[in-house]
Amino acid sequence: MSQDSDIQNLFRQFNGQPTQYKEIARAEQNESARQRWPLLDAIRLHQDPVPPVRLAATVHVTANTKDTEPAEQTHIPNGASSRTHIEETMLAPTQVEPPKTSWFRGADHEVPATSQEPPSEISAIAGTSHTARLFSAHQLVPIPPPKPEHASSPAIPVPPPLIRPAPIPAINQPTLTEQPAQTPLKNLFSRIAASSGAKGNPADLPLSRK
Amino acid sequence: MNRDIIHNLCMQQCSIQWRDFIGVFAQELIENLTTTNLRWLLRRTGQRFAKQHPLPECPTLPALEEVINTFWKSINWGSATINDTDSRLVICHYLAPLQISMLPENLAWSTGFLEGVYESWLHQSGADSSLLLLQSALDPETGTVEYRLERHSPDRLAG
Repeated sequence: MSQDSDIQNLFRQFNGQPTQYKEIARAEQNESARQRWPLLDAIRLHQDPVPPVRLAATVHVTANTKDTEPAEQTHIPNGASSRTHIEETMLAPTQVEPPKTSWFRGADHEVPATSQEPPSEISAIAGTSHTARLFSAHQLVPIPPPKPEHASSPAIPVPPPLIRPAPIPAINQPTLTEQPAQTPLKNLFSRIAASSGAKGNPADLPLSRK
Repeated sequence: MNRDIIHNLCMQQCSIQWRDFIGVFAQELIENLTTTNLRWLLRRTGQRFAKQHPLPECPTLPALEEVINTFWKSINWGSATINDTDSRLVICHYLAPLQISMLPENLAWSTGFLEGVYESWLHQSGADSSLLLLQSALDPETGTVEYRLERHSPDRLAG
């Protein structure tokens, strides 16, 4: 007897619609994740709910889903994007992907069998991929938003701000004609330096190096 | 001026303790070095001497002359005058002990010492490196030597 027939029979006993059944196996997966990653409890206890997930290239959250809160995180490494890690975690077939044959595994005490959720939303969810279902707001525990430092920290480390070296002060090299003569003596030297120069060799012996 | 009087005055410029020694040393130098090399050697000696005895900063040419003469007087090395012409400075040094100590016949290269001293002092006072001080005249009777500060090309000192 397949699981599908079990669920259908179960709903018939309560005069319910099998289509109204919502898979809450995710809760079990969350529980197992909590057992694997104790840090997850600490994060969820001290953080605010995660804002709605924005549509990204690799995140399979369709536009039809009104609630796009990300799934419960298993483990968030430091510095990494929480949503990127959610994708990697959720898409892992051994951990996340439910059996394709049967989405409904049974009622969960956390969610009443007769959910108040309108059927249209369930059908919308059912029409999406498995990953999209995982992001259903009614099944997931709100994930606190990452801390500002984590949210703002990109995957690529931000290079340190360029430390511009202090400008090198211009070396004041006075030239022959531009030398700022501060004293009369220096003015005299400047005038001599600007002159045409020696016109005749001294009467003494020419100097030469060794 | 009486030549003998000047000679006596010059004799007093040099210490008896060192007079004969320096004379003999100068003769030995002549035996081993050329006149050109000796003059260059004395010139560099004068530059070293000026580094060891830097002058204070002087605002004017008369102040510089006064400072120089104060120093020469303190070591009994004669005196000097510094005159400004249109395109050069002329320095005349009187009664230096070079003539007596290193012998009169060696004045052709021994005066290179004062040439190095004055040039270094003038550069310390703000003269540009293109300005060189070169000996321009020499009176062998009195030992008076004249130097001129002028602008020269760098190859002026090339051998």
